[in-house]
Amino acid sequence: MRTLLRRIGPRYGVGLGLIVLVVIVVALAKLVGHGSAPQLITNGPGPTASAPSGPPDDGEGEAPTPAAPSVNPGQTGPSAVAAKFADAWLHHDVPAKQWHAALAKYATAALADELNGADPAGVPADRVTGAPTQIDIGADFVQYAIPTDTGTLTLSLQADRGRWLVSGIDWTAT
Amino acid sequence: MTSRAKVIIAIGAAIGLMALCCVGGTITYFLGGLQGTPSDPANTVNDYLACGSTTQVSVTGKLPDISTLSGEQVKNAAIIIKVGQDRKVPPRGWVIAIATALQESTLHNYGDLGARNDHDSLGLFQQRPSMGWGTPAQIMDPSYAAGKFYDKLVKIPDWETMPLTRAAQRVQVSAYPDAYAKHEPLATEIVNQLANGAALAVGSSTNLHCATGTEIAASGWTVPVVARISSGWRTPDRPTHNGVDLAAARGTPIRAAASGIVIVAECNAHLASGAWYGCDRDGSLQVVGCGWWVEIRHADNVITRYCHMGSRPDVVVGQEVTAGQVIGQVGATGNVSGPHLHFEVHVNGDASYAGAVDPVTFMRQRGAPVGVVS
Repeated sequence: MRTLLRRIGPRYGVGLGLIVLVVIVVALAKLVGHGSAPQLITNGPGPTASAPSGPPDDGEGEAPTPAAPSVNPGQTGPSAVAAKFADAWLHHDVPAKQWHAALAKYATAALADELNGADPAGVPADRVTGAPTQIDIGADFVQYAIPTDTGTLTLSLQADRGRWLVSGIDWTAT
Repeated sequence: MTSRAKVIIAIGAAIGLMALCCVGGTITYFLGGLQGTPSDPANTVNDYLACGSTTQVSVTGKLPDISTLSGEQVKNAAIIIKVGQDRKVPPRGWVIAIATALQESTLHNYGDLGARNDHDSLGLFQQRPSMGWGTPAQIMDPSYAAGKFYDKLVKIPDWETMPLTRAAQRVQVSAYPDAYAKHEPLATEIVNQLANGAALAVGSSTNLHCATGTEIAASGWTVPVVARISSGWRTPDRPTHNGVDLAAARGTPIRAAASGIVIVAECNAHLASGAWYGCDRDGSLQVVGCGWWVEIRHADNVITRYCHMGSRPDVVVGQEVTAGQVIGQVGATGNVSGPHLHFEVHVNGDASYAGAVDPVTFMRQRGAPVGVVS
């Protein structure tokens, strides 16, 4: 080392030392500063955080098992209501008033209101072609996908004190 | 040249190279600090610098590639946005109009399709001459058709805050009123790509700004609470933490992040032994579960989850909520060390671990960044 310093002289030796110092400082800043750079959000557990590690996870790691749709004795279950509503919806070759009245029997007030003025001629299918698939279930909410001749009719149903009614209609053409 | 001089030159050159390298590294280091959070490469398409601009959308020349849309579809979307801008309709209206056209015509300017046609419906919005929408020639002009859509839309009370499919249905009066909802995400992306992130904004087309606080962005999304993040999503310390903890004070109103249907509103709190603990008192780290919690299903099978509410939620299962509607208050029920909101976002209708995504990324892309306290 002494031989090397003597050969390059004290001036260059100091220069080389300074550069090594700068490299060390930058590397240290990068290491230390990485987590403390100004950020809009902080990721470290704060005073109000939940458990800092591992289970128990406060976020319901897995979806709880949904309850089966509840049906009161003497009331029609959601699958039967959906089937009746689908039949009425597909039976569209009738005057608008008649079509609307048939749907309103199985629809929530909000849905019946939304269908006010809708033209049954706009129904794009004629008949159900298969068994409905249950998409989303709960004690008070369920959806059925019903295959038809030209696409899939998706009905949302909700229970109001045990009485199941259709609350939404979606359509996807095939 | 002496051998000593050669050595000096060689060392000088080496020092020079080291200096260049070092300076380069330093510049990279400092510039790197300006970039903030590294962007997720899978989602860069949705990250925009601006929340719209006052520049008119161009409907000619080179238009961007968007999703799987053809040039004709993108051009029709640009026309819909331009008509909205000309009429000073806020960008929420552009999103609704494009989602409606996606459902009615997949953004194709259809003429009469013969036997497949629904009566005399024509054009981007499938408007009918016999129902007073205009002459066939007028309706086949995309600018005219979009103008007629906006005419009706802006007359609906509260059209800006109601669920997209409700507003669209009020204009279109379709036989399947929920059909517009599923097009909201693509319509949002189209507006962002063509109008410089305008779906992230609030305000009219002459005064757009990024949504802040509890404002609802044109995408239809808003933050559940304004608070910093005290614990992030799936951090090295908490790899199964499927949401973010938002450090809001007890009693802070929690808002629905977007419109949708409530699918869960209940108490979930028991002890490790399995014994029921309940939500009528604060939980602790010995309690397992979400406490009073709510889950909302949104358009395109997105689910949001809100845990640890201080009292029974303000909503019930099956209830339709609008974006920004108060669904409960921040509390400390369930597995907590103090009051906060645990907020999760799930995609593909999958409420399990597999469906959870980082709420920070998801919400930023919709113009409603969580964890930002100004």
